Amino acid sequence: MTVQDRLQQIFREIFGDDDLIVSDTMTAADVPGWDSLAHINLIYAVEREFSIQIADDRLASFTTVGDLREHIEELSRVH
Amino acid sequence: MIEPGDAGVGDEPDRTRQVPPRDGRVAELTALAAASEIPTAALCRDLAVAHERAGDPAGAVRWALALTDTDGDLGAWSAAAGVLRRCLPAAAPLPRSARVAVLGSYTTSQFAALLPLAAARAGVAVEIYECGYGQYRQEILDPGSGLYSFAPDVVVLAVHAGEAALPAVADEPDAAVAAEVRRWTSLWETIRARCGARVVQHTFAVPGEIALGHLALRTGGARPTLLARVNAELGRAAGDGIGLVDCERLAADVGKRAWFDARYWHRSKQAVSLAQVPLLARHTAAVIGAQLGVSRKCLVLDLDNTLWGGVLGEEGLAGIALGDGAVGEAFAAFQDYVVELNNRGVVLAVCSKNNDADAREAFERHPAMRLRLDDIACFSACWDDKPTQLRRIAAALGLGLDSLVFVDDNPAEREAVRQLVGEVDVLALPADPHGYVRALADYPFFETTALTAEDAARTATYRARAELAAAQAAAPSLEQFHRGLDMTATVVALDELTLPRVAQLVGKTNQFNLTGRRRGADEIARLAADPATAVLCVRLADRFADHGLVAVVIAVEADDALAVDTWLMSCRVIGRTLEDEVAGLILAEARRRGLVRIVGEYRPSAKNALVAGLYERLGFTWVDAPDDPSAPGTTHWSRAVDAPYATPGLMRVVVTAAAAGPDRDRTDQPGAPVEPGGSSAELSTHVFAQTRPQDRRMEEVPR
Repeated sequence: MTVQDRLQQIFREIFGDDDLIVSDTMTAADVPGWDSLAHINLIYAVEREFSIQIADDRLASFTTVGDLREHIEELSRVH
Repeated sequence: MIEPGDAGVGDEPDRTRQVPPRDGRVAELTALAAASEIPTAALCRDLAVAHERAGDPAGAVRWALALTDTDGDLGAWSAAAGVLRRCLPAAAPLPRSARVAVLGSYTTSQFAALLPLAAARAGVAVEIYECGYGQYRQEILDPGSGLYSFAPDVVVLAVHAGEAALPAVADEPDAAVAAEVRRWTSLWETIRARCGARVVQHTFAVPGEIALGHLALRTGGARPTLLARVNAELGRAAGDGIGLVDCERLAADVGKRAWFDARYWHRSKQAVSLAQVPLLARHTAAVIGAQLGVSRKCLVLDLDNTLWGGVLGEEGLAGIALGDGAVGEAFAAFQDYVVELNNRGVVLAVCSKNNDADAREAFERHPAMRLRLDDIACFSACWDDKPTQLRRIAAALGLGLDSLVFVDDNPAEREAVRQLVGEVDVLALPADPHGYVRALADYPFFETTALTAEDAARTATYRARAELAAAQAAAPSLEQFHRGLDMTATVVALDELTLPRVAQLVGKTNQFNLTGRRRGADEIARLAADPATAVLCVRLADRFADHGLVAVVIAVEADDALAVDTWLMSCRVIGRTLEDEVAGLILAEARRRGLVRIVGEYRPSAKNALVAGLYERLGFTWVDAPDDPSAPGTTHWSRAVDAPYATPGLMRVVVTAAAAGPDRDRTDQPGAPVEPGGSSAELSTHVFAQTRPQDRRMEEVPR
C-alpha cells in the first residue's frame, strides 16, 4: 500500500466515512467533522501507522493533505 | 469464521448511506475471516462496514462488537463505534440500556466516543452525555446543569491523578488523604442524592515520574504515597451504587510509559494515552455492566488440555500433566486462578467429552488437582456435542446462555459454540498453557458489584492470610517464619502416579543430591520391588502453595545397616528443614526393619557442594578408609539408629496409609495433629505387585 492508500484508510476510520477519497489538495474545510479533536486523532493515527513522531511546530503547518503526505514521506525516509 | 445469517442480504435499501449494497464484499470478507479463528481488528472493521452496506444491521453490530475483543487501536474502534451508532437501533435490543454521563477532568471526547461500543459488548446500550472540558465539579454542584437535565442512570467520573488536590509532600499525610477522599465521596453523595444515578469513578493512575525516587515510599507525605492511599480509601468508601475502575492497576499492567504520553497531554490534554483509551473504555463498560447486573456468572471449563495437559482417556490418570514439571505447573496455576474466580462468586461448570467416571476420578484421585468436585456446580462429561452440553448446563443451573463463558483449548469446539450458541462468550485460550491465566485474567466481564453474602464466609480465609502476612512481617526469626508457614510434609507411596515425578527428580536434581545417581523410571520401579529396598517419597505444602513431590530417598539393606543410595530434594524447598525431617524418616525406616545403623554416602559433583556437610550436621560420624581412587572425594557416614535424634519440628509430618502400608493403622502422634480429609491414602494403588506391603511401610516419626 502506498502512503496515500494508508492515509486514506486512516481518514476513513477517523471520519467514519468509508467512501472518503483523499487527495493532495484536500483541506480541513473539505471534510465534515475535521475539527481540532479529529485533527489530534488523525495525527495520533498517522504517527502510529507510520511509526513516526511529528514535531509540534509542524502540527499547525499542514494546510492540505498533500503537505501531510509529504511530511510523512520525509520522516519515513529519515527512518 | 462462518456466518450463519448472511442469506438474503441486500434486499433492504441502505437507509443510512446513499451507497449501493455490496453483498459480494460480505461474502469475500467472510471467506477471509473463516481462514483464521480470531479475525484481525481490520477484518472485523471491514466486515462491520460491509454488513452495514449490505443492509444487515445485526451482522454489522456483531462484527463491530467482535472488534472489541481484538487488539484494535483507536482508529479501528472509532470506525466500529460509528457502525454501532448507525446500526444498533435496527438490530436486536441489548439486555440493558442506560443513559451515561461522562464527566472528565481531561479531554474525554475519545473515551466518550468509544464507550458506547465497549458498553454494547458488555450488554448495555448507552446514550452518552459529555460535560465540557474539566467542568465535572460545576456540573455536579449546579442543580440546573446539563448533567441533571440529561437524567443519567450512570455517571462516569473520568478523572486523572493531576486532578487530586495533593501537594508534592504533605506535612500531615493523614489529613491530606482524608480531605481528598472526602472531596470525591461528597461528589458521589451529591450525585446520588440529586438524581439517584450510579457512579463509576476512575481511580488515580500514579504517575511514573517520581522526583523523590525510591525515597517516596519512605515518605508518608509524598504525593505518590498519598495517591495510592486515596485510591485504597475510595475503594473502602465505595458503597452501594458506586463502582470503581482501578486505573492504577490498568496503568501498571500496560506500563506507566504506555499509559501516559506527555506529547498528547501537552498537545490536547489527553491524560490517558490514546492507545489505551479502548482498554479504559472496555473496563469502564465492564464495571457499568456489573452495576446494571449484566455480568457473566458462570465459567464453563473443558478438561483435557484445559485443566490438565494431555488426554485423560488416552494417557490415563498417571499420564496427564498436572502439578509437576513446567507444563504441569502451568495447568496447576490455571486451576489455582479458577479457584480464585470461584471464591469471588463465579459459578463453575465442566463441559467435557470424556467418560463421566474417568473425569470424576481425576478430580477425586489426582494429587495435584486444585479444583474439587465440590467446586463444580454442574459437571457434564459425556460424548454429546458441546453446544448441547452447554444448553443442558445453563438449564441445570437456571442461568441464561448469556451468563456463560466457555473456555476450551480446542479451536474447533470453540467455533462450534460460537456458531451454535452465540449467546455464550467464548474465551480463546492460547496454544501455550503458560498463557492460560493471562487469557482468563484479561477477560473483564465477570465483574460484580460486591462479594455476595455466600462469599463473605470465604473472606475469612483472606483475613487469615492477611494476618499471617502481618505475622511474617513481624517475624523476628527464620524459625518463627517457618512456623508461620504451616508446613506439612507428607510421605506418599511410590506408585503409578508418583513414579514419573520421582524419576524426573532423580534425573535432574543437581544441588541437593548426595550421590547424583541417575536412574530411569523402570530402574526405580525395579529397585522398589525388592523388599530390601526402601523408597521414600515426600511432598511438601504450606499455607501458600503445594510444592508437590519434592524429596526422594532410596535406601538398601546392607547387613545390619540401611545404606542410603540416593537422597535428593528439589531446590525450591531447600532451607526449610525438610531434610531434617527426611533424616528422621530414614531413621524410623531403619528401626522398623530392625537395623542398627544408617550408612550415608556423599559423592561430590560440580553442583552439590551444598550438601557436603549434611551428614555431619545431622550427627553422622565419618567412617571412611582413605579415599577410594575410583571416586575421589566420596565420603561415608554412619549413625546409630538408637542414638537420640530430634528435628527442629517446624512442620507436621504425615505418613499416608498407602505409604505406611495397608495393614497398619495410621497413628497420629500427639502434638502433631494430622489434618483430616486431605489424606491421599485412598489415592494410591500399588502397581508394584511383587512388593510386600509391609516392607514398604513407614511410621510416624517421633520427635
